[in-house]
Amino acid sequence: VNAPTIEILLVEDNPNDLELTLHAFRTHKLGNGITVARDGQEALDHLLGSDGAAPGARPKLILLDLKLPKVDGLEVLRRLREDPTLGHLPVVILTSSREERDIVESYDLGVNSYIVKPVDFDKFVETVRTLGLYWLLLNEPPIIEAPEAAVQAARP
Amino acid sequence: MPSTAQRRAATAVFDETGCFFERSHELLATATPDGDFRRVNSGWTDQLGYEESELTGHSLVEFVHPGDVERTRGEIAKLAAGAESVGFENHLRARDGTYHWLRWAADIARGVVYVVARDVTTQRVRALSVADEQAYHLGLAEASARGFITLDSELLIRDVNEKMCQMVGRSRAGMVGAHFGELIVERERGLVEMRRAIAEGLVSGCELTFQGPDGRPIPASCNFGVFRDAAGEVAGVLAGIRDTTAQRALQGSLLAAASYTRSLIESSVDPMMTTDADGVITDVNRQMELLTACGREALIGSPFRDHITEPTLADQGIERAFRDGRVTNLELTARALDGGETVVSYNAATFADSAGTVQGVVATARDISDFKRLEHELRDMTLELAERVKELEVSNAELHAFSYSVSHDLRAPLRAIDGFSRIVIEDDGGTLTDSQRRYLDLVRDNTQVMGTLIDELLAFSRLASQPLNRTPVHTAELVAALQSEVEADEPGRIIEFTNGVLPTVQADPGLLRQVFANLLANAVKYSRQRETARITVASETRDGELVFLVGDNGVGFDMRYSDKLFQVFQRLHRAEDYEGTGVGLAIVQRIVARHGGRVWAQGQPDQGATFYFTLEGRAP
Repeated sequence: VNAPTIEILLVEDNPNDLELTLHAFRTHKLGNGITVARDGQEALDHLLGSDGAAPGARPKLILLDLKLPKVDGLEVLRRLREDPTLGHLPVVILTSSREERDIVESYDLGVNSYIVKPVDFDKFVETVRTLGLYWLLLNEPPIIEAPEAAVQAARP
Repeated sequence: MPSTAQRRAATAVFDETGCFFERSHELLATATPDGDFRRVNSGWTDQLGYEESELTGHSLVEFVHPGDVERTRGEIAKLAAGAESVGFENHLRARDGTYHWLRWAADIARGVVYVVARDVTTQRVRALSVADEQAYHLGLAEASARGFITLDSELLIRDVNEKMCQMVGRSRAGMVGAHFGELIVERERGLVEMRRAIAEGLVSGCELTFQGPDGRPIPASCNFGVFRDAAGEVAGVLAGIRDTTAQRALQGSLLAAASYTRSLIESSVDPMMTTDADGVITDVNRQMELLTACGREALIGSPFRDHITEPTLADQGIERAFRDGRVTNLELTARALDGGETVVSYNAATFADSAGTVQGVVATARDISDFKRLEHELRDMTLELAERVKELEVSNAELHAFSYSVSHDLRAPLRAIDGFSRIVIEDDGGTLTDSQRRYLDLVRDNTQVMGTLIDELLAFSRLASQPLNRTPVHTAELVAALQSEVEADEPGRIIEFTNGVLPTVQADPGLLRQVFANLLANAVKYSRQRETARITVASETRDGELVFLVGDNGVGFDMRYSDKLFQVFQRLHRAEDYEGTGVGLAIVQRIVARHGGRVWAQGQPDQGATFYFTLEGRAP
């Protein structure tokens, strides 16, 4: 298939967490189709386009850290939810923060899920596996009237 | 019948008589036996102002003073009854309406009454005044409220009046002839005064004490005047004596009342003063002297405004008091002579004399400088408090930012350490030795401990800022639920729970649950060496205070270290014996403190431990 396929947009600034997350995905053979954004602005640029450049391929799932350089995770979430074409894109917050305030605010902004990264790597790997299975295989995303969506919908 | 000659002669004689008649200075008249004037001479016109025609034909009685009419009629009647002559005096009204004393002599001959009257008004008045004066003076002396004594030049009593008799309780007869000195208590002084009177002619206001009835002393004010004989020699002394007992008593009671009022004024803790309408001070009390650091003499007569930092306000206050009758809570600052200033609150009202005429203003000051100072202090403290609150809010926000940062950033490296250690073990192609593997496992174990520590520490710090949400909590249900959880978590152990009375209390349900959970976990953990762990949860009332307790039959602790039990990271047991971070009891302590309660523990090594806590301060 010619169309750029992207399954997950992983927004993560911490190189260790990034590497561990990618490792976990690879462990469960979910590593293909992951695009990485290293800060909130990069994520928004990819999703909404910038400076005349067209947006990148639309992912099936966004894994969003909260504490990010430039534009933080909650702001990215707000901008996505305000956008008419990206409003329904599944977003899962994957963060170290267990703060009640962050959790409540995330849900207020319409996040689909909020996951606290376990310190224990085994549990983390298990968490990533569950996430991938659920959002990429079990979950049925809404049909979105966009070219990429049409392409994605055409995929088996 | 008389002859013509006789008649002529008679006429001539008559004419001569007529001349005498007319020229007499006496009042001459003829009258009928009934008293009607027949003819009057010119004296009536000259002396009484009547025209002849106004009298002739009129009755004498018509001109007599009403008081004398009866008597006059009587005298006339005597003549009519046959008396040859009468003489009397009466008042006759003159033409101008004034009454004149007339002395009448009348006789009757051949049916004609011949009347001679003389105006004796002048003699009469003079004669009367002498007699009257004597009677008057005597009456005056007797009626007087003063006692009177006349003394001869030897100071022997010649006469006394009735009042004097009453005053000293002696009869007139008993006193006349006695020596004046006998009457008085201070005989010597009395005689000195008396001699002075004789020497100087007059002494007044001399205070002497008389021997009253039953020996009672009679204070009296005496005037002594000397009277002299025709030769100018001292004939005696007239003494006027006024009993001043009542006056003294009145003065005494007035003095007592005044002194009472004065002592009230002086004992007042508030400075007081009176001023006149111009604001000039007329009286002050001791406190006013202290307030102004001025003596009474300096204050009285000085303008009130001089003692006030803002004199215009003082003037306005006095003005207002006179206009409205009163002024309340007028705040002024008194300036003392030594420069000291005192903030005072004035209440003032006008005062009047017995006739209701406003005399001045009486003003009371209340020293409110303490109040003012406290007010300032309170304001300063409130401001300071507000500042502190702001600082606290800032530091709270910082703390929150800090814990947020800890929460987010401290876990990430732990996860990296754990993750990469795990990957090394996973990817090992047989190059790692057993001990290398064990070390990597230890690295991973420690990251887990650190992770737990971070979580508990964050929970602990959150307790400080988390709002308390008090609702009724059924502790019996709460404890039972926790015990079920504990039993489920410890399937291999025999735990015997004994619950006492567990009432419903007002508390934050989530936080109270944490308290019981931590204490139960503690009890379960430290009793695990026992074959049967016995855990008691109960409540009791101590001095009116509800106390919860959680006891176990575990390893207990040494009371010497009991103060370390509730401190963060402080542990009384080795980590390899009993796992834990040392935060659990610190959390309990903090939650209980946030509820206004206390927590304490009792134990002995190997004898179990009991933890107690209350949720509120002592019941009032």
